[in-house]
Amino acid sequence: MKFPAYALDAGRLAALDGYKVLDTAPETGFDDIAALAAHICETPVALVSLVAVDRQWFKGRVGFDGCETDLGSSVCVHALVEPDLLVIPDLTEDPRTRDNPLVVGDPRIRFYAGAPLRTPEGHVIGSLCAIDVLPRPAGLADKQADMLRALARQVMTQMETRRLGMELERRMAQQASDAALLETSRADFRFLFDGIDDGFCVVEMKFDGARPVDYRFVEVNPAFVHQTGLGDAKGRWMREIAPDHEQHWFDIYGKVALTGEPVRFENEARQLGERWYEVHAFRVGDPALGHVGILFNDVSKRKSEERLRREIEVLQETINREISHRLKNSFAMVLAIAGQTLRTVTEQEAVAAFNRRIHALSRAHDLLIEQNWVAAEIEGVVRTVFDALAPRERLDIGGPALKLGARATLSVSLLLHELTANALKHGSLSNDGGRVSLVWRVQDDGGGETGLILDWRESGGPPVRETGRKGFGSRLIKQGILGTGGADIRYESSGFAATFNAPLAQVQQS
Amino acid sequence: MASTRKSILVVEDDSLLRMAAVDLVEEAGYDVVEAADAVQAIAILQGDADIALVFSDIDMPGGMDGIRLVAFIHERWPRIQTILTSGKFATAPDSLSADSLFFTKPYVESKLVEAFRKMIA
Repeated sequence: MKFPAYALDAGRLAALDGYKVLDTAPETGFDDIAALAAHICETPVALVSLVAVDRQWFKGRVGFDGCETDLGSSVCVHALVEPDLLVIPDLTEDPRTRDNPLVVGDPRIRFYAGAPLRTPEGHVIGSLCAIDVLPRPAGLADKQADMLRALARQVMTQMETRRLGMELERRMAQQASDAALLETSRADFRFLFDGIDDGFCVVEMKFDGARPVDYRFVEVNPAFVHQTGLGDAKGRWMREIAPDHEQHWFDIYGKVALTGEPVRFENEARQLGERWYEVHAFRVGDPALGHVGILFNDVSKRKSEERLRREIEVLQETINREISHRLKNSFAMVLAIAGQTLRTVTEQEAVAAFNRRIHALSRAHDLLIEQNWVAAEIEGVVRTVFDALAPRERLDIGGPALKLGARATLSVSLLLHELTANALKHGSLSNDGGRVSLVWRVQDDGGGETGLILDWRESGGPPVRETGRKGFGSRLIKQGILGTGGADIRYESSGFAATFNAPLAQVQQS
Repeated sequence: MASTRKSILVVEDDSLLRMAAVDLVEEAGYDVVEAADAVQAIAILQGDADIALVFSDIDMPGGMDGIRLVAFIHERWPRIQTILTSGKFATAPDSLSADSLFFTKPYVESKLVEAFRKMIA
């Protein structure tokens, strides 16, 4: 079954779709027209038939069961391309319709007369048709044809009326919903505007040429007063309220009004009681009005806290520097006094040992000063002590990064100083080839407490034996880190070795 | 014999530390001249052509600290070597001329003597 290509024309289908009529409930107006058409044309059947993409659907009908058929059973589809009426006196003789299922089978229709349903734009969306089961060789009388055309126009008039009615309803519904939405957003905005703790105002900029010179408060929220200390600002000019208000405020808002680019910034308003504000400013409304919305918060407290904290830090650092300066001068003084006092002592070796210990202590202080007296990295402590006495390449070190507290820094410095001095004197650093290995680790001491283990091991030096000396150095070594007594001292065949351990919590305490 | 000996000028406002430094320089085998501040030091330098090295504290009263003193010396007497010391810094301060050596206080005496030997050999 072939039908005209125009049946599937996109413009035609869109025009039909625009009426939103397919599959709607029956309406008396259309059924009445169908009844009139049947009566006038003296046929048992008349249809207001709309030809859609895959079927014809009947908006009005008389004498026909079913509200639609497929396009294969449609005669109306051929009426779409007729300039005027399509009249087929005997459907069994027309090549377009003789194989039509409704012609071949029940209800065996024979006569068809259809008037096109033409939109104001010229598309044909279907036909008003009269159908009989008997052929009618004479077709329609002239009068019948005229009336059928008139009724078809009447169908379109009703279609247009129907569409306008729907459009009107849609617009009214839209307006109602817009109004409701507007009302809701107005209420929400008001609620926000009145309820927020942030200050909010809308200002109107005043320019002298391109230069912003003043602004007037168009709108202020209740928090505005609390945030600025300005009561009764609405309607007044800023220059009048605060003549010395900084020019940067006017410049920033003026730029927002001119460019429409929102800004976020922090700045100080001295005349509002030296307050600092965090501000978000954006253009509102018609750019020609020069209105700027300003959302702001008094952050003076945070600012002054920040300033105070910075001042304290600077002060703390100054104090630390001054104390350490004095401390180091005192060390220098002690050494000078010792040098003068012990000038004639015959045991100059002891004087030198004393000097070296004071130096070790002083260097430990240097490390702490760098860290503001909080903590020093263990590797730095080890390197500093060792480098002051012996060639760096003769020490092998290893262990995890670890901060020592202030007291432990001093203690470990003195301890390592004694170990290094002894190694230089009697141990593996007293010849050219010996070495020292220093390894540290953190481990559980078995009792649920974490400890720092420091392992000193000499190798390649001359044979060593316990000297039995009870000097300050030996005692310092035996006492271990922070005087905890955790020291295992061994004179092994490979050389002197000592393992120290101390609770990590104590070691890291500042 | 005496003419071949080199002089070192010690500048230190603390008398005890100055005394110790003077002893150190003498024991190292140099002639020593001492000053308590930068102004005295400059007066001495203007009248004595034999000074080869100035060893000065940084923190001193009198409006001119050791850093400015050595800057002045480098400009006026470029051949004089300079060493500075201070308890205020652990390492040489940034403002110090690269031509000067720096020792933090308290300094290790043997290291200082080593520096004397290298600089005025």
